[in-house]
Amino acid sequence: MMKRLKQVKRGEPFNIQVDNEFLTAYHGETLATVLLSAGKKIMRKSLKNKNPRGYYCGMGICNECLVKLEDETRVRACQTLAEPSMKIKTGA
Amino acid sequence: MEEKDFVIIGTGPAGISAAVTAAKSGVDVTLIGEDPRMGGQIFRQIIPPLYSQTHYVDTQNEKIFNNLSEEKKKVHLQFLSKTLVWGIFDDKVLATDNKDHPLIKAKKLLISEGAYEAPVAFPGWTLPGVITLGGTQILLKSQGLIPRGRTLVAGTGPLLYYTASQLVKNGANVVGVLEASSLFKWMNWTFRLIRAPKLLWKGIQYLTLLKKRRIPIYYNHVVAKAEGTESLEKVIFTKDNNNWEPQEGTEKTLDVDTLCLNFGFIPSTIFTHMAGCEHEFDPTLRGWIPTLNNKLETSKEGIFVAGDCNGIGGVKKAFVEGQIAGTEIALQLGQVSKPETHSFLSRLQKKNSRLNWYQKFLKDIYAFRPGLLKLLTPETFICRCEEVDFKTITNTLENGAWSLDQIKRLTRMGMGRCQGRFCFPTVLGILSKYYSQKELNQLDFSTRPPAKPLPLKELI
Amino acid sequence: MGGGIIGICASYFLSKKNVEVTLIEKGEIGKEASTANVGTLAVQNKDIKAIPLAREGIKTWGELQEELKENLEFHQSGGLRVTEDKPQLRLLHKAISVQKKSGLDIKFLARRELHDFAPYLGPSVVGASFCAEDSRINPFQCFAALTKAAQKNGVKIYTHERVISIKIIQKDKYLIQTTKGQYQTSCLVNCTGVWSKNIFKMINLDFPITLSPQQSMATERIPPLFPHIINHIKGKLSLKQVDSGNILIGGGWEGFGDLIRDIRNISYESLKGNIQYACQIIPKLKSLNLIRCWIGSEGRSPDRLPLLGNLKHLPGFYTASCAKGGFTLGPALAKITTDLIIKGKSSLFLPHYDVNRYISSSKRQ
Repeated sequence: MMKRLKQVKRGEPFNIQVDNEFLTAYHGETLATVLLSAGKKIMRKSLKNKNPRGYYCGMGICNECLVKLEDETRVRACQTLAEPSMKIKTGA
Repeated sequence: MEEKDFVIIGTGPAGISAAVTAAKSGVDVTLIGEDPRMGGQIFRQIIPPLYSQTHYVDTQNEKIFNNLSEEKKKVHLQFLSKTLVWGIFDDKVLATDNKDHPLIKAKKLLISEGAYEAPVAFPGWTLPGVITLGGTQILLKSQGLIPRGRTLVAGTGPLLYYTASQLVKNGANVVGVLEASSLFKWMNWTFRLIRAPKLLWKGIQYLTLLKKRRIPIYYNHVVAKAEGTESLEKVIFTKDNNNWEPQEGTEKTLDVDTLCLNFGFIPSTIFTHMAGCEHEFDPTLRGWIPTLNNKLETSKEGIFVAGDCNGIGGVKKAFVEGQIAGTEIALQLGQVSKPETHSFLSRLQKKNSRLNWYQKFLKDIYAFRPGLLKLLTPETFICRCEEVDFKTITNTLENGAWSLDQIKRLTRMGMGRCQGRFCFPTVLGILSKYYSQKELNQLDFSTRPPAKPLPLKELI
Repeated sequence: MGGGIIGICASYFLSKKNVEVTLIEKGEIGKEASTANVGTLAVQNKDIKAIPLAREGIKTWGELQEELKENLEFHQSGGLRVTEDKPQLRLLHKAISVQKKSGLDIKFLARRELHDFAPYLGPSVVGASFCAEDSRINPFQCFAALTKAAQKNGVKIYTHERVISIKIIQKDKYLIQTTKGQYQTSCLVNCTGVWSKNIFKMINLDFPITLSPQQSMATERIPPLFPHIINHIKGKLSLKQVDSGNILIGGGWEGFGDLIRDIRNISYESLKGNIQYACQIIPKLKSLNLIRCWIGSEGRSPDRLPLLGNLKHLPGFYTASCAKGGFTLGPALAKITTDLIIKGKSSLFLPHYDVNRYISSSKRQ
């Protein structure tokens, strides 16, 4: 649902594992950027009704973009920088 | 515990301006911010190593941006980046998630935590693809990202035109702009902008660009509903009246992938509340404003406030307020003497009150119109985190609960991860219909750490 | 006087016996310690002298859930009292034998058995006692349901009304002056928790009641992680996951409080200490986010046992206050008070709860 602007220079791409696929990421990008650029809008499911939720405020306060790291920690995709060898889960 | 002379939470224009001002007088300054770079939301910059030749600071504020960037280089500032202040404990003790600085005691503290997007609840507002205009800006400024697919910009105020034209310039497919207020109102407001010709000129440029690209602006229209199975697919919008009340029978539908919303801003007062400062409720903002003296000191000695968290006043005002707070703090710390600062301070205070018109202007534009509450259906979630719907809230109110605290206890509204930031304004909007300013001022609630969710492992 | 858990329960119980009840609360119903607690209803961590009250209290909560036809989120899920070293194990065994003698069904789980039974516990836990009676409840729902039921029975509830003075008109006639009016009664019950000290002052009694500002906190909501109520033999820990999925962490860590200035503040050291303890006992908590903290003002008598019963020299002046573990004991204390008022006696009333035990030491001024 988002696209990367060409005029912004990105370094060497690397992959991060999201659920069961590999997505392209660049240093300096947040997990939200990586997910949204790959067309992945759904970041978590709401607790009661299991409704899809995604990127909303972008400034780290709404907590709608939570994704799960490998160690089960839930982090805000909009505030967490992507790093090589990251494995994250969405929809949790 | 480390002790610091002057600590600033928030690194937007107010924070940087105060830091530079105080540091120039020889004060040892520590700035704390969650982002990797200073700038706050308005001066947000690309996150390195991403690189962009152009930064996306809007040109009307460029002068202040450049000024602060230059001044910043001339002084020594300690900047704790990527650091979350999660708690303020007595007295002016800050707890952070920074391993090297877990507890900082500040002799003087400036809170310049800014503001956040005023939430407006309507059916479907929780769907992925419905995002805030601020969130859109952040993706563009710090990540070089624009919406792909059909994008609708909606809400009210100058930020709509600014963002829409910015998106268009960068190649986004903007299918329209929905403005809740009328064209007539805008002509009135525009007239007031004669005091700020540059701003007016910018506005005209934005509108001209949108016109040239044939992007329709729907005045007097609001989003009534967002639809989609797993994410946003359609937006249903209607005409509204001057109270922003949707008009039945005027529904139109648009296929939309991304909906960017802004209905103004709510001052962030989580830290001033946590520190126990006095506040006053402002029904037009649906939020609180800390009570300050003319040197911007709160009711708690040594705690100051500057910028948008003290009512929404824009960049210029934030800049001047930062200077006032920075000067007063340098004075209180004994780095400068009273005679030295006297004339400077009074000049700044005059300048600050000259800028009040702009704050008033923004307030008039963004003042919450209760007609928006008509968008709510019984099933609309007011509290996104805990999924508390409108029906549950009204039932609780009908059963006699009225304080925020009671509604919170009975419905769990505001008990989730956003800590009430995105539901309290809606409920306060509802309460404002029933209660007087005085009663709303007495709303009893306490703000406790953490300011944002904090991983327990940070404390082990 | 006092709309905490004891006050609202007593109002409801008395109203069921057709007593005309007026409840006066200085703030809002259930706003102070009664909802600041985390809804742990535990038996095995109580003082042995308070155990009969705790058992009666839990039984009553179960009955109330049925009777009020509301979901109070009452669950008798059983509780574990954990230990981490040999001296603690010895303490636990001693406690178990005393508790068994008093008729409590409690069993010891040694390391291996325990970790099979509660695999979420961390490796530092070497043994625990299990008590099936330990339960939990949602205090917010309790207040909503009890308030509704009491009002339906005709209880008049006045909030934001503070008692200013109590005049003894004659031997069993009292004139209560509040910020909003006057009430005359032959029977009044002081259920004002830590504020009891002020109420006693109004009748020239100086009671040794102290403030204990209790901190608690909640993590974000997660899918079910553990079903039991967890306590530690050394105190200092109470853990449970509630229906909403949040994990509530408490255990008697104190913050700062000042009743005169009406200030309560979270202590960083207590918060940190409590979290460290919690993560040691259930290591999976480390990956969770803390989302809320709160603090309540509990009142304590020197022996931590409740202040209960009729003041000897003032017929009709009852007290039911300052019980450690007040949410567990609350309904029992309200029941006893109801019986004392209506029948003049209660089989559960024991001398060590008697409010008069502090009268000689609390010099009449």
